[in-house]
Amino acid sequence: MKKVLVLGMAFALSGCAIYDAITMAKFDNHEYALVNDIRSSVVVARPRCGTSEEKPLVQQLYVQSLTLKNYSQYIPKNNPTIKMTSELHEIIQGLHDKYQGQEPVSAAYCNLKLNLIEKNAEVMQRSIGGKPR
Amino acid sequence: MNLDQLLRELNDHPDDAVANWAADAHELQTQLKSNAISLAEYKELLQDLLRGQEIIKSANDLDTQSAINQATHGLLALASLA
Repeated sequence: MKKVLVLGMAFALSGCAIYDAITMAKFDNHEYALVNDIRSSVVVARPRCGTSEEKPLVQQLYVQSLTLKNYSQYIPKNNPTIKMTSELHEIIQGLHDKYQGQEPVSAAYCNLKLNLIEKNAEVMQRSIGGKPR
Repeated sequence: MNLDQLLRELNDHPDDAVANWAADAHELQTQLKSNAISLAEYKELLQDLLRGQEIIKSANDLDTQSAINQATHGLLALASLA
């Protein structure tokens, strides 16, 4: 009975936002590991910007971000994470497309892109790591 | 006030997200001016900065949800003790 009262009070405070928070997707080890893989791959790839070794590393990064995007997509009540994984994949897609083209990819562009990817992956990892257990 | 000055001022903004965005945008300006990146790359990277803001916004939403979830379960635990 007390639980019902507490929940009732919570809903009365702000309805949907509270309900969304109570029913949100919980911490998922695999989701967290996939973001960590992306962040770690960036650290490995960055010193190789401007070399021929970069292309397979970017391909790996692309597969990892696509895997994360697809993995998070159908987890119920996972909207903020779905939004983040989609945006991150869009950023990585741009880098991937450049490496699939005929034009050489400049080291400066590669470095700037990987810096942005790493920053965003870290923001995501911190937030996803804070999901309730 | 020109764009460089504006970005430098935003660089000192008290909100970390704004300051970081301004620092990144200023870096892109610098790289474009020195021809280290092309105009097309510059536009793509600016678009990425906007995507980064969306990621920060969603991360903040997720952090808020997590805090409410934990607080609610804490309240429920207290209620079951009473």
